Amino acid sequence: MEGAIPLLVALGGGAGIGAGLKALIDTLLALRAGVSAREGRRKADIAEQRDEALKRLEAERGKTTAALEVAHLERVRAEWATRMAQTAVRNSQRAREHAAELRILLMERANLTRAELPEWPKMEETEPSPRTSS
Amino acid sequence: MTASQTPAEHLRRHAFLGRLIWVLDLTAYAALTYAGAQAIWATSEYVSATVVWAPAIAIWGTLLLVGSAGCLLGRLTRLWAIEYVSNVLAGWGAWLYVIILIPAMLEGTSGVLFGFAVFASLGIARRYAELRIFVNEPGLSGIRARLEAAFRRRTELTVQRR
Repeated sequence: MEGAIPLLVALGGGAGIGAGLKALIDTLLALRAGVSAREGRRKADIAEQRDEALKRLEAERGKTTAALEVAHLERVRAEWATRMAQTAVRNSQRAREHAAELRILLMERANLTRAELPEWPKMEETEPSPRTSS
Repeated sequence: MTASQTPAEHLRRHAFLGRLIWVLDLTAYAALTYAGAQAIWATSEYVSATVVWAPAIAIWGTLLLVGSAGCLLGRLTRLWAIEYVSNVLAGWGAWLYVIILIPAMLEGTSGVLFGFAVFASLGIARRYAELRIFVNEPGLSGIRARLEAAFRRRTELTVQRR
């Protein structure tokens, strides 16, 4: 064990000098890129960067929330529209059945023939559903 | 902030603690510089006998002395750049001292000293972690990244696995 110490210290010394050189070059590269070497100034810069990054993150989150809000409202509106359309269909079906009953009553009570009764109104054409998803 | 302090009082106390820490750091580095000087010019018998090779002792002592003196200077002038490079040197010196003390620790003669040496090395390493924050800058590449980029092949043609 004792025989390894000189070797370890020599190797460690060399590695320490190498690490110091790497630290020196890294520091010089950073200083050359414009980083301030003074502690106070550097701390202020870092705090500024952090605040700006936090603000940007908040803005991103706000944007996502706003987009989700819009999508949610759109979905609510679409569901309401579907329900109202279905209600309208059911209502018109009821009205049609009522009209058919009234026609039968007219034929029975007023003794009118089918040809004398007012004509059934012409219904509008419905469109086939468009491609809403691929 | 405690309920009994106004913001101005809290700020003053905070600044006072900052100054206090700065002075404590300076004292600590001064003590380490003393240790580095002793390592070179008053090498103990134990160190001379364990690390037989004189140049190795010289390198280790220089690492400690230059590192701690640089840390002292960097903390004094509040230039983190000086402190960062010196911290690396002093850290290696401290860890080498831990290695030098291992035989004594195994013999059972210098256990307390060994513990203190480990603690000092870890303290230097903690300061290193704090200094890393100053060196790092997003978008900056260190020397390792630049060397890798310089040595990387730039061709688009790659080998296809069959």
